Amino acid sequence: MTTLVTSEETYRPAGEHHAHVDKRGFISKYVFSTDHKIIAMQFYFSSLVWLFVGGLLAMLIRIQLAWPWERIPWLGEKLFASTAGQMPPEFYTMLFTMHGTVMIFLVIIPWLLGAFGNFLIPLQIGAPDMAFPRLNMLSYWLMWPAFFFFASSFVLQGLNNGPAAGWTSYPPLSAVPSAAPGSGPAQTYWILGVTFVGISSMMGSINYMTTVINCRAPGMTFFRMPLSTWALFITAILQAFALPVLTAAGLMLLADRVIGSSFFVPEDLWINGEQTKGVGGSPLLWQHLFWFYSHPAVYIMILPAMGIVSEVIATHSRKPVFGYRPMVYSMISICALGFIVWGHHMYTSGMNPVLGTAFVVSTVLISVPSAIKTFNWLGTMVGGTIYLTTPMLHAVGFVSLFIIGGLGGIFLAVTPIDVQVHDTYFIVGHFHYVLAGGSLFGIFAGVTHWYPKMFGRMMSEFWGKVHFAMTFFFMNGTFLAMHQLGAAGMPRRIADPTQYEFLLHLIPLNKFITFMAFGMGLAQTIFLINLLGSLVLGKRSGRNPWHANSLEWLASSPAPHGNFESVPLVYRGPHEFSSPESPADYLPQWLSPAEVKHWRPGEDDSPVSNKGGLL
Amino acid sequence: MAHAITTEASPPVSTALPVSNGKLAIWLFLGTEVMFFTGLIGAYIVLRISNADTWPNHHDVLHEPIGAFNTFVLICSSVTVVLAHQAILQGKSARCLWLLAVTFLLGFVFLGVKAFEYAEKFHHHLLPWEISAEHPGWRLWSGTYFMMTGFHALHVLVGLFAWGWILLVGATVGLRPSHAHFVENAGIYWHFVDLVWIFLFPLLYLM
Repeated sequence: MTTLVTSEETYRPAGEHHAHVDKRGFISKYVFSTDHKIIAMQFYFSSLVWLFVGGLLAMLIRIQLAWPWERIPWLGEKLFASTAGQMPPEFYTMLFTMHGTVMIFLVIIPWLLGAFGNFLIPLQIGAPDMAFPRLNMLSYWLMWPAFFFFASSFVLQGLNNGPAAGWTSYPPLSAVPSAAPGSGPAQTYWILGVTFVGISSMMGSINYMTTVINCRAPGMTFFRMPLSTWALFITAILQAFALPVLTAAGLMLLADRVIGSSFFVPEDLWINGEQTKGVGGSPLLWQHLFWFYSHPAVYIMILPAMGIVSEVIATHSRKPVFGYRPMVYSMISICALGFIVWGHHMYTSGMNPVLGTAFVVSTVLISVPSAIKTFNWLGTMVGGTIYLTTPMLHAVGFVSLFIIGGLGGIFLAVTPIDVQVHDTYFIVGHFHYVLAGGSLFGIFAGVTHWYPKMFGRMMSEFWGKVHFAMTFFFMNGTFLAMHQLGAAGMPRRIADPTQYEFLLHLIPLNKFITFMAFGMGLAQTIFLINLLGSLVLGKRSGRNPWHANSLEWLASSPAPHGNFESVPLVYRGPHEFSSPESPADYLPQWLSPAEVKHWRPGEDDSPVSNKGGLL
Repeated sequence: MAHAITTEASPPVSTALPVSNGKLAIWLFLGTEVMFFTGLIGAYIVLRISNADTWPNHHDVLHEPIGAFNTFVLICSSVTVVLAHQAILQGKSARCLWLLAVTFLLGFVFLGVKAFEYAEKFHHHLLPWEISAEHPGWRLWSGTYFMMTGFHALHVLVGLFAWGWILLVGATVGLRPSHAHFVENAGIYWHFVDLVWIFLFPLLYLM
């Protein structure tokens, strides 16, 4: 490694760190690190842990729905001694509340934005680090209070006294402690957890935006940025300007619970035969404020996955992204429209029909940019030389499941249909297609695609494909059938829907879904073993194992502290595959036209790291 | 291929904005702050309109002159920040320091007045948990008042820490020209906090 030589006239270093020999100790290198790649890994592994926590919660939900009130062997005796092994309804309520909360706030958002955002942005724009490395570290360490509060809300009051209001925390259930007996402190911890996630994400987003705007390498114009960086940039904008509203709303909810203000509690509210002390507050106000953030949050959870998938499909099809600029513009319009569609979550909450119509129109409009993106992914693959590697399979899985989830979304956007299926399993099926099928496959594509860059080794292709095939099969089995449950009228968030006689015939279908969900859970252990095992057993990878073009593949694998041996210069767009100007089927961004002439393709792919700069 | 390939003969040039990272980030941060206070002020407007008949008259709960005085104090503190930034740019670090000291003092006075007002509310039992349900508008007013002014005061406090730090640096090791960035960025933040108050004052004390 050599010292970074910067010329101040042409380049402003992004962070305070330059590439230099790393002499830090273990604590400062891996725990209180300011290196964006280490922080990315911290987000990565904590999300991985929470993914399994959230997944286990889902399995417990499925057990109760398939065998309502039956004694759960072994586990039931340990957990529910007082009810002789039966799952109490309060426990079920806590399960779906925390499943949603964990998966959204502790898995998908931190994994996509915290892990991939941190890892990819500086590497792909050619910066040595984030604009504010210490702020970056703080944004990770503020996740720990959130972890602590969410974990406390599970266990501190006993398992049957967890938060009970769902991840949406609608008041008055969430605002009046007596509405959900026992969940008092747990619901308060839940709000504190969300607040800390909010502060952490706000810091992260500001850092990402500043880095993308101000720290790009010479020649890296906005329209030469890889689509994953574009997606992360747009997501950071969404997050930064939508999340503070939820933080404000959460603090008001906290005030309702703690100091007896009445923001969200209406007058004359009777709970369990007792009049509450609420005065003239508005439960609908919470719904507006909550969805003003949480609908954009849906795009926060899908846009980075879209960016990752665009990148993966282009690289593994050896073709430029079909319509690079339309891809960017459609992400920008999804971002802009995302701010004005929140009302479609509230069609059944009581709304002026004119306002409802406005939300129908804005919501349906989002399908236009989404369709542009979908057709562009297909267009990228058409006529390409497709390599069915694990990342490519996950990316194709993303596209196919996103289409199903997206089509369901158009159904739900339209008031007359939504009124019929609102709060049924149709909704549950729909958003799992987008969040599990979409975001999670996006995450898998990203994990497998950038694994060599992150850890310097390849994951097992065979087990990767087994994991993909099982996940894809069981995921469709789980969530497609949920649409059917919803169409048959099965409501969500009820511990035992079969208390209604007309739903009794759905028990076999519920059992089927539960077995499928178990299969999906099992498949993830393969993913976990492959991910962890390849850290030690994986084949060492070179700098550029996929023969990709963007700047992260210029750095050695794993990228060192400071990323690049010298400041990279950028000469072209990020997806110049199969270019006639190149002797190979790829043309890296960092090669000048003069260098291309005597460039020996593949020389950057030898698995020896630190062999010196290419420039 | 679908894509025309653009190559450049001349070496690539820097793509950054002519703004420092810190200044860019502080502006973006203030954008998020706008959304935060929009949430609080929006809730106030919605609750007030839907409870217009029982909402307290501002004369009964707040003293205009005190609010006006505090507004004046904050505006003055914004002026001294501008002058302090100008002074440090001209290299007059002593002048910069005493202007920042005045800013700090004015912020402190603002919080003092605010504390006095809060104490009065405690004295008159105008607190969310003490107002009975017979006065719904009053209780909602109290909740929104403490929420909005409380978070504003918290922002003033953060500003005071920033000024306190730079004063400490100035008093011990002395200000350097490079501190102009800090003064400017903290100043931008301070103006924003001032601006929030410019919205809160008429909403709470005059309307």
